[in-house]
Amino acid sequence: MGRTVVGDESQLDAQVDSIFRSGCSVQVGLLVGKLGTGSSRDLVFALVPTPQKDGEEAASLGPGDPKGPKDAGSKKGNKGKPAPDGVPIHISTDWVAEHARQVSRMLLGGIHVVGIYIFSSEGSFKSSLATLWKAVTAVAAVVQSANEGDASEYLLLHIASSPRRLSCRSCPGNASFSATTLRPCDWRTGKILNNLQEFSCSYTVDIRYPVVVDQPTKKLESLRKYLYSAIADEAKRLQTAQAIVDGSLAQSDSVLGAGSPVHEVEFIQPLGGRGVPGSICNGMKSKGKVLFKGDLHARAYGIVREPLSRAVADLKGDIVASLKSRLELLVDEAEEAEEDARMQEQDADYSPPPETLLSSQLSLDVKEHSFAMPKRVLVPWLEGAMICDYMLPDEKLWDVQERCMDLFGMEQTMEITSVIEPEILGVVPEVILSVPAQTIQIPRGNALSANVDLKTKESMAVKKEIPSFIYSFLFAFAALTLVIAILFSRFYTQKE
Amino acid sequence: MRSMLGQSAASAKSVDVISGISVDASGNVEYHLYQPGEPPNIELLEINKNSNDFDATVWRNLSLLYCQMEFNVPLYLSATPNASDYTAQLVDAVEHIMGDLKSSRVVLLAKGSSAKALKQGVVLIQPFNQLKVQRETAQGISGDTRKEGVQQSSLCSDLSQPPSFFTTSSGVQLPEPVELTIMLQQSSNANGKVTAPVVQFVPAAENATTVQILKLSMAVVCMGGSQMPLVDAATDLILPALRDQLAAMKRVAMKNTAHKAEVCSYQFCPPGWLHPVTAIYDLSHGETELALVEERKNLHRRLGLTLDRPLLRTANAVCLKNIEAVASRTSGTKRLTDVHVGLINSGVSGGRQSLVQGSYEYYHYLQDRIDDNGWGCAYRSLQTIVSWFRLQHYTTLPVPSHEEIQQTLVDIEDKEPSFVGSKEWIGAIEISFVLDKLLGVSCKILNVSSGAEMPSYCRQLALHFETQGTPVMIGGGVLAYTLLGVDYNELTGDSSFLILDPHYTKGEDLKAIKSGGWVGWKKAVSQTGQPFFLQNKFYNLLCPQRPNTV
Repeated sequence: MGRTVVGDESQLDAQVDSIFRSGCSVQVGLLVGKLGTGSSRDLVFALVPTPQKDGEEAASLGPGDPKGPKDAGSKKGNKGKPAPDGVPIHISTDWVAEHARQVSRMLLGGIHVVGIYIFSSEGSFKSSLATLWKAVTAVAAVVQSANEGDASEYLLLHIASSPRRLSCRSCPGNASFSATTLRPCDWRTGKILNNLQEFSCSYTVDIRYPVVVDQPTKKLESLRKYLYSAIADEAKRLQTAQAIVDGSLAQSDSVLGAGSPVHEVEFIQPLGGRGVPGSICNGMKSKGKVLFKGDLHARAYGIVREPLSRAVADLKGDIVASLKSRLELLVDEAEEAEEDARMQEQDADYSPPPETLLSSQLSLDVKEHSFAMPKRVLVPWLEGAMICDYMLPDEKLWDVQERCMDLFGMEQTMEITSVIEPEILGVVPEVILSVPAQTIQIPRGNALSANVDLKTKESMAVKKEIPSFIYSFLFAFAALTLVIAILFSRFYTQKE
Repeated sequence: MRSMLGQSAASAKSVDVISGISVDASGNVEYHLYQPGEPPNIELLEINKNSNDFDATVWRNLSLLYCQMEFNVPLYLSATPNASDYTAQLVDAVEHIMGDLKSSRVVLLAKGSSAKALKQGVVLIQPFNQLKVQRETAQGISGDTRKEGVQQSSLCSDLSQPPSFFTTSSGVQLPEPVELTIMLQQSSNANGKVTAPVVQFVPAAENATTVQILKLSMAVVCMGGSQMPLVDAATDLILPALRDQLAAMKRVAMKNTAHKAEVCSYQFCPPGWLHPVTAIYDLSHGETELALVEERKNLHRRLGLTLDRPLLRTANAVCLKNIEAVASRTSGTKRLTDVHVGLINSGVSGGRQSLVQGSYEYYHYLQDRIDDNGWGCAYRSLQTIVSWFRLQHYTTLPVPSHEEIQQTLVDIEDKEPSFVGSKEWIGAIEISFVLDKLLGVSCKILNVSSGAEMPSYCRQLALHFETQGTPVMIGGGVLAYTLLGVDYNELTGDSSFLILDPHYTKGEDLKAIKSGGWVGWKKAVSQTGQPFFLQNKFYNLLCPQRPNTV
């Protein structure tokens, strides 16, 4: 029993209750929490069920996939007849991994996908360990590449259907599967979420990254590489930054106390740290430079008794992850647009879309060009913790709500007015406006949410029909009331 | 003097001025204190020049402040050199840094070096944020007796108490500096919403396609009174000093016709100077470049330094950066240095000892995990000689390994390529080649046809040690030795040689080395009649010539 895993009592109880109420026989989803460092415990904050794919559940009973679980099943078969409830579970591993990727993108600093949970009978669980291990490692691979995570062990939580019982195992990310790979952990529940501490900051991004090639005749293939290396370079630079937490310099040995749960962080960085990236040396040929300019809102969650340095590192991680996620979103969009363009190529009156910074191939050197990164919004999620999402220029808060419902299984009662918008969209420099509009026109929609189950879509559509001006009117009305109230109170206090 | 007074009168702040005037032919100097005002006050100062612990008295009331940073700015130049492009981009880059230095986003971190100061942690100085200094402590300041209610602000002395000193190579005691780091706030203070980033691609202009990195390595050292608040030290001393140095560096970089400026500043403590001085060099062409030598000569003249010793080379620089300084001062070298010191008797009565000047490291068999027993003695002797040039600051080159020595001989086509990695001997001639190639040092070679003639070269060798002072390598027929000095009585002709023997194979144990005679005075013929220098063998005495340069 090496590791101790603690789940949040009230949150998990409620979620397990709702699984039982739903009446399904098997369900798969993600564990969201915090992996401990050193001797500290791993924490699970919540379960996030994986949505359906094209109307099919991500997990089902029976040998659905001929590849994976069959070996496990046949091995079991040699021992004798499987128990009546020992039907192996089939998991759509890719789908769960994709879910993990998109959920990770929406988690703020200090909170990560830490594994998966499976709701099933004891027998089914026992006969599908190999499948489950595969799913955990697939999720681990996705999450690690997204966060540059240092954790090597991920968790598998089993919720046994009868009798109702929770047990947890840990799974080293790189080992190959054997009977002992999944090691049992000590599972406990306790109050965690009310021990969360929030750290937020605004961070000014001012990246100038040279776009160079080593041979003068060489053409640029894509600028994506440079955009990602610019962010990687900024991440390296950020490591040298020092944090001022609530007005005083963060000490290396401080520990989060039980005081105020909300902290303001400011980052300071050594002047002169902005060197040239190591890959660039004298004599290289410059094709130009990419600039990132603006500010972003970053947030991370720490837990009481954790070292302050970890919270600061998580906040730095959130800054980098946020930059990366925004770029990834745009790259995904651009890829879809290219895919669409290839489909339309047969049409006679088809003209290829103009090349942009994000195109995967450049046939000629791009001209001056720029685009605004999507803005970040914060959505209340658990008690004391928020998640984030990114809004493209023409998206509405509805789109955010839709994604939260799909990916986090949020109830439809989510208040759209509770969404916090700490950022406004950047203005693309004027020179650029002369470029034809379609250069920055990218089809919207999220790969996963595009495939949501029809039923949800329909119910969404009904809601969507409410014209947005009614909302803006309501909003304006509320604001007006507030202003009047303030004026009145002023008026009265003055009289007194 | 007048212009100084004028300047101080013109500036808004009233500044006290002290003048020193030579009053008589014997060189006595009178000091006057001038205090501006109506009417100005001039008084004669009593200066106690006999104070022995001058260093300590001065430094007790002063704090050394040090700030260092480096910039690597990519310039985009056309393939054909174009001076106006270079200048424009250089000015632009410098202006950008200057803007940062003047920006209100500047905050500083100050870190002391003494044990107590380190415990207190790092002090955050926010000169433009409500003009206050916040002291950060892990567990609060204990034992601080200053009155409460007064806005506490850290003083320079807070970080350097108790003062700890280190000694520079010229023997001057300096206090461990308080290190300041310039930081920029990376968070916008606006409470409202922030603007999400915009990404832009700017293609290169047609004539600006080649990347050239401009390197500016800045380091300033300031002296602040110990009672000076750190925030004042930052705004009145460090920041202006950095701006001045940046402007000076810009002028240096402009002169670089190849547009490859690599401007670095160094602190030196030359002999005769009680405080460090700063010099700015453009190192893009290396240290031995003619213009740089000329520049150093000028500096030597201005500082009243001798013109035949290198005192302002980068190897002479004082390291003021805390971490590095501590590391280099404590870890040091694992090799023994100056093993001959403390030997008692040369056995020559009434003789005159002429010894190597300065320090060397003792290189001998089996060091550095190289089994050179039986063939490496001349290599080791050469390494000892190179270490002397290193420790005397003539070079920053590392002492070459056996293989590097062999490679050098192959490079100058003295040996076949197969020589590298072999166990072949080298002699005095090869060593002179290597010294010439690696260090640019020329050597004089004395040929001694028989060991019996060695004593007759004593006068010449004594002259060598007195004028050149370099270790001499003895090669020739048999074994190689390093000669560190001679003891010679001109009247009786009695002589003895201070021999450092590279054939020692044991660990770095000074006692064993001395008692085993691996370093010691040897007579040409010992008392028992055993000749040290063999009669029937020839010897070559390789005398490296000390470069007469700065």
